[in-house]
Amino acid sequence: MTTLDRLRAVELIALIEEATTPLRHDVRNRIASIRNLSYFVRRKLAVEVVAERDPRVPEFLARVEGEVQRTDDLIDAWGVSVQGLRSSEVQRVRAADCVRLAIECARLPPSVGVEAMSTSESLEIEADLEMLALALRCLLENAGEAAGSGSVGIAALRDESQCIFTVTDRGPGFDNPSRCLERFESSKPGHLGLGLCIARRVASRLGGDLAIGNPDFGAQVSLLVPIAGTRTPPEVES
Amino acid sequence: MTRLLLVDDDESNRVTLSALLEDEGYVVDLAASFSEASQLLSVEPPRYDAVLLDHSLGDGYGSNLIPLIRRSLPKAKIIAMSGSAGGDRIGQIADAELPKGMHFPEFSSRLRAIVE
Repeated sequence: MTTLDRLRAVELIALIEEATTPLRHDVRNRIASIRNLSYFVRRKLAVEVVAERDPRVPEFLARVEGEVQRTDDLIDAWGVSVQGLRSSEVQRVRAADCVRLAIECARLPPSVGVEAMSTSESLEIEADLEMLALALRCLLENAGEAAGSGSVGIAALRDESQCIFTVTDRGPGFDNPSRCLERFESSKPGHLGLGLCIARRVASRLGGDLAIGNPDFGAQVSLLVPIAGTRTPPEVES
Repeated sequence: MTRLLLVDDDESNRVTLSALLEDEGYVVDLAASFSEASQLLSVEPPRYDAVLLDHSLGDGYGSNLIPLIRRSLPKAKIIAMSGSAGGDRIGQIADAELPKGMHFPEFSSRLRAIVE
C-alpha cells in the first residue's frame, strides 16, 4: 500500500469516527436513561407482589433490561470495529515530511498555492505519518477554501517540548471561533464540517491539542504535538 | 448530608438520576444547561460536596465550567459523567469519571467512595 493509499484509508476511517461519535454518544445517553428508569421502577414496584397477579411483569422488566444491555453491547462492538480498522503506526517522523505529504495531497482550489515556511528538517515527532498529514491536510483545505485565491501558509516550529504546526490564511476568518470545533459546523455549502474535528482528534491522540488563533487578518490554526523523546532532556539545536 | 449538583441538559437523565440519588439519601440540586449552572455557581452557591457534570450541555461544554467550579467550590469533587469510559476529554481534567450507562448500584457505590 502506498503512502497516498494509506492516507486515503486513514481519511475514510477518520470520517467514520467523526460522523458516528455524536450518534454513539446520544444513543448511550438514551441507554443510560432507560436503564435508570427500569431500575427505579423495579425498586419501587415490589415486583414479587405484582408477579402474583401477572408473572409477565417481572419477565418483561427483565426483557427491557436485556434489550438495553444488547443495545449497549452493539454500541461497544461498533466502537471496537472502528478501532480495529485504524492501524496507526506511531514512529519517529520528521515534521517536514508530514508537511510535505499534507501539501502533496491537499485538495486546494486551483488559484490557491501553499507557502511552506520555517520547517526545520531536524524537527522530529512521534506520530503516524499519514494520520498527522491528514490532520494538516484538513487545515490546509479549510484555509484554501477560506482564502479563495492567493496562498496559504504552513509552518512547523519547535517551542520547548512541542512542535507547533501553524496554518494561516488571509480569508475572512472564523465567524464564530467558539463553534468552529463543533462537528458538522461549516460555513461552506456542501462541506461536512469535520476537518477541524479530525485535526483535533489526531492531535489529542498524539498527546497534543489544536488551538484556534485570533490574528488581525484571516485565520490561524495551530496543531501542537510533543517533540519526539521529550521525556529525556531536549537536544541542543544548532 | 451529602449535597450534589447534577448538571445535565438531558431532562430524562436529570429526572431519573436525581430520583435514584435522592433515594440513596443525597440532596440533589439540578442545572439543565451551561448557563444555568454558571448562574448558580457565580453567586454564593450552596456548599456542594460534589458536582456531577455532563460533557455536552447544549449551550456549552462541561469542561469549560470546571474553572468556575474550582473557584466557587474549592472543596467539591468534580465528577465527569461521560458517554463512555475514558471517552471524553472532560474525564481527564475532572477529579473522577463515572460512565453514564453504568448500572446504578455500581454508579452509586463508586460515587459514595468518591464523595465520602
